[in-house]
Amino acid sequence: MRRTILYFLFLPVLITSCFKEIDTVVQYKTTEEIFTSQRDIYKNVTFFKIYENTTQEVLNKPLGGWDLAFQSAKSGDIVLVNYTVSAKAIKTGRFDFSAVNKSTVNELFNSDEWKFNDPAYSNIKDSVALKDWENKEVYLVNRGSSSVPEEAYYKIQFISKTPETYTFRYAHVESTEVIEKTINRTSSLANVYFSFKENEVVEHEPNINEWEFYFAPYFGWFETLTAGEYSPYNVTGAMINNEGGVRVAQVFDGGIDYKDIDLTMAQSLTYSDWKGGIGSTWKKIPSINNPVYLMDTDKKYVIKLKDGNYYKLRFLDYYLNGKQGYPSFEMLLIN
Amino acid sequence: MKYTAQIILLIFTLSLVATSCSKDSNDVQPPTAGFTLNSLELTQWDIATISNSSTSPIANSNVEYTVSGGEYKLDDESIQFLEVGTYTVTQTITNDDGSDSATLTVEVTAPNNVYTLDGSELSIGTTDKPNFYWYDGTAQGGTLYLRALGSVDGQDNPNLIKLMPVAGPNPIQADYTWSASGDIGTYDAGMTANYAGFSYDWTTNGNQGEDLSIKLVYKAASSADNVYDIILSSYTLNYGNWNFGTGTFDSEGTKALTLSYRGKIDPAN
Repeated sequence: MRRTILYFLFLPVLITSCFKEIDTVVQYKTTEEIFTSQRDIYKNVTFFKIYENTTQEVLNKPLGGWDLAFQSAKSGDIVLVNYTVSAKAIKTGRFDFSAVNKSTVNELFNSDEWKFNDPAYSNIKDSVALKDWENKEVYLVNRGSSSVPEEAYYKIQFISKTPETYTFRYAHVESTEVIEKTINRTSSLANVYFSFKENEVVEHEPNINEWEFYFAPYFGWFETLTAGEYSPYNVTGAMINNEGGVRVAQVFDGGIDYKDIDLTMAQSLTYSDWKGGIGSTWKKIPSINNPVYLMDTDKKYVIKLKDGNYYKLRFLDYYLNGKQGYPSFEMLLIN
Repeated sequence: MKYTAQIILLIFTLSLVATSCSKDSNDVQPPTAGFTLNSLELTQWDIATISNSSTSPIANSNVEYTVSGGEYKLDDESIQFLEVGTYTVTQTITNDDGSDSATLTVEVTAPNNVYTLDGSELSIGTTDKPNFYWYDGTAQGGTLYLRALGSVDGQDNPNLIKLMPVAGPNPIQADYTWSASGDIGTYDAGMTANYAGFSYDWTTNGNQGEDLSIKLVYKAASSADNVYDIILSSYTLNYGNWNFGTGTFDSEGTKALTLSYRGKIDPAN
């Protein structure tokens, strides 16, 4: 009888203990050299890890789940607004937090001074929207396309930082409730993400050692048909985990065939920590007469990982069952 | 014997008291149920106003309404019908002398979401995109704005309708005056026929219109589930094609657009 009672006591414990496990088990998409993303790149941020014989999806997140990203594991204090939903920020010229309200939004609504974050350049502080946050000026943040207008505008003011923390205050522009938060840095994440709506830190990216690049839509600088002229545009592409030690070299010479990229060549290339080293231009701009995304076959990439291995990458397609936004790529270990 | 007499007297007294408390059947005054709604044929998310005509000859009556047939929102004086179908609304009135009930049947139909193009009526919505939806227009130098698709018989791709109300930090529900200035409180509109991204039959380059009205008709727990009436009474579209060689717009004339929509505005992503 006692055994039976014990069994029934422990059974629910055993069952519920499985729930957390199931929730957090990564659903790997196994591949060989060729991988076709099963996620719509226009609606998801999908993180990938490269292994010697395969590339695997390790985490997928919808857009708009966070508002501020705080640089965490590596040195630096860059704070980003959500580039996947075209969030923007603007300096208000005010240092009194209470003096910024809905009228300030009306005043600055059509200003040309709203800044966005191109994630490709997010490791260059001068290019980020909140680059001068340490001077304690009050910023307005437009949370971007995942927010309806009345929920879109927040004011933020950074208060202090230590080697381990960021402290800031924020409020909706119509709210009198001012919330002060301290973000604790961690060595396990490249960035710590914060949501105004949730009023807390939210999970967005995997452990810094568990991913090499992600696919996402983002608002960034796009080279127009006039070479050298750039315009802000919504694009889709891949960002590398430069904070986690991933480096990339572009092999854009049409005379070099993908199959000819070998270890000797890989070792001779110059590698960059530029987050947008893969970026979005591996696909060509569709023409009005043939509105289909074709791959730019000249563009190949070599990725160097922290373990010293080199991988060559090329994109093969942008469609899955006729639906646009599902990149296929080939990733090969260079022996 | 003495006790027997006392008991008989007690029973007699109690029965006198009891019968004096009960009413004569002619004195029973039960209530009479009665109510009307301002319409029995409604559109989904319409609000029907209740006119209570029930009566109770005596005080302390209680009137209650029950609604069946679908989701609804009930308050003291109105019922909002949230689904398409046949609803039954029952009023029950109760007082100390009894109760009575009355029932009405309400037919709720789906909104007629249409736009007209030069007077021809066309439906708003496709299988994938039945509702208006937010669209991130920052890539075109704009802001977040509203889009709707509409399937067209015999046409490979849907038509695209663009409404660009400038809400600023305000709720989207408001009246907007036409202006291409981008100022808060103004709006602009556009359309692209047979829209397939980079290819289409024709598109528009502005022009002007009458006021755009966006009203909140149902406030849900989540703003993504709110329901709006969107009415564009008249807009003149300047239609044609962009010449990508010269960067100019080759106008081919104008078309008249009107629009009437009730439904959700889906999130951008």
